[in-house]
Amino acid sequence: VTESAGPPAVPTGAAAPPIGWEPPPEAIEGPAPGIKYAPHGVRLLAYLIDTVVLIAMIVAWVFLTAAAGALTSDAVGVGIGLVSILGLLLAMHAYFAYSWSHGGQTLGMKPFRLYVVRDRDGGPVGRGKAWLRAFGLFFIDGAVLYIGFIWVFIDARRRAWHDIMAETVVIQK
Amino acid sequence: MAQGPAPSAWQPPAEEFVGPAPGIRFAGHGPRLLAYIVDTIVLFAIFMGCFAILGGVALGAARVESFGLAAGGAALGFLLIFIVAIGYFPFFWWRGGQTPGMRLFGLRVVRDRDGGPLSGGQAALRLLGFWVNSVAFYIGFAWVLIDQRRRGWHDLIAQTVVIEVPR
Repeated sequence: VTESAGPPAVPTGAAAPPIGWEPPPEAIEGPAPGIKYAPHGVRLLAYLIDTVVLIAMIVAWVFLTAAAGALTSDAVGVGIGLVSILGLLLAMHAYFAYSWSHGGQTLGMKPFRLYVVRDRDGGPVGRGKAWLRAFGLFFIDGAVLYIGFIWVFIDARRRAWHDIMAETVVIQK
Repeated sequence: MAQGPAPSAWQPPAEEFVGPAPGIRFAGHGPRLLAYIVDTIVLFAIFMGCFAILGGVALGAARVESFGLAAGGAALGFLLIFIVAIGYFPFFWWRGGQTPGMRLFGLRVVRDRDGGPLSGGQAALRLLGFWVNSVAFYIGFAWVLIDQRRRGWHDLIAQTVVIEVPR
């Protein structure tokens, strides 16, 4: 409480922000007026929400596969299991890819008004690029010590490797 | 080896007097690290206190042979520890922008955009950033050495910056 000694420009907790504060260079940056590159924090939160969706999907898938396996013979059950793993992988890709190519948003991105768009002109992402982006997210970004994700802190347009692969950028409207 | 006079045209490091506003400097790396160490010591002391109380309750429960007291005490104790572990940093960041460790070294975490106070969500997000830093081999903490405004990933994620409190 004895912090009133400084000049008036000093921020003291809930007091007014200091005069002459220079914002970070990226605070006003975006690809177009009124459109920001998505902040790291909300991107992380959106990803966490989508992770919950994925976990739900995986649990349901495993349950159905186990049920199907239990109802058939051992040999058929193994076959079902192998096909199921492949199917799950495809379904996980499909969840992301479909969301990105149809409206540019996954469930997790909706509460934060985040969109995946074409980096070149801000247009919608095509089906092929969306699948490529999902593949990058699952298999490329984490392949080398997660550097692919870390790239959002380095890249001027906040692109991860999967963005660069699919020629996309994530924006907030 | 004798040290001669300082060279007259010595160039200071470019970042020496950098700050976001006149009279305000970005916090030094050393004080930040020390503040964090102090906070971990404080946290550790709180945990030890919690465990001591837990142990006392357990001993008392054993003496009166009450399973309910033991189970209830343990549940309450671990809930307390969980709340402290989750809440310690965000609470102080949110309320005044200084943890006890930061207070000791005159540091404050503020909104990066304009130097204003953090919202509760920002404070929670910043702790989430700590965990991201740890998962990715602590590179996020080392980021303060690279970033122009000395932000770690937890700062970039929560859109905050740490400054020295001017005296």
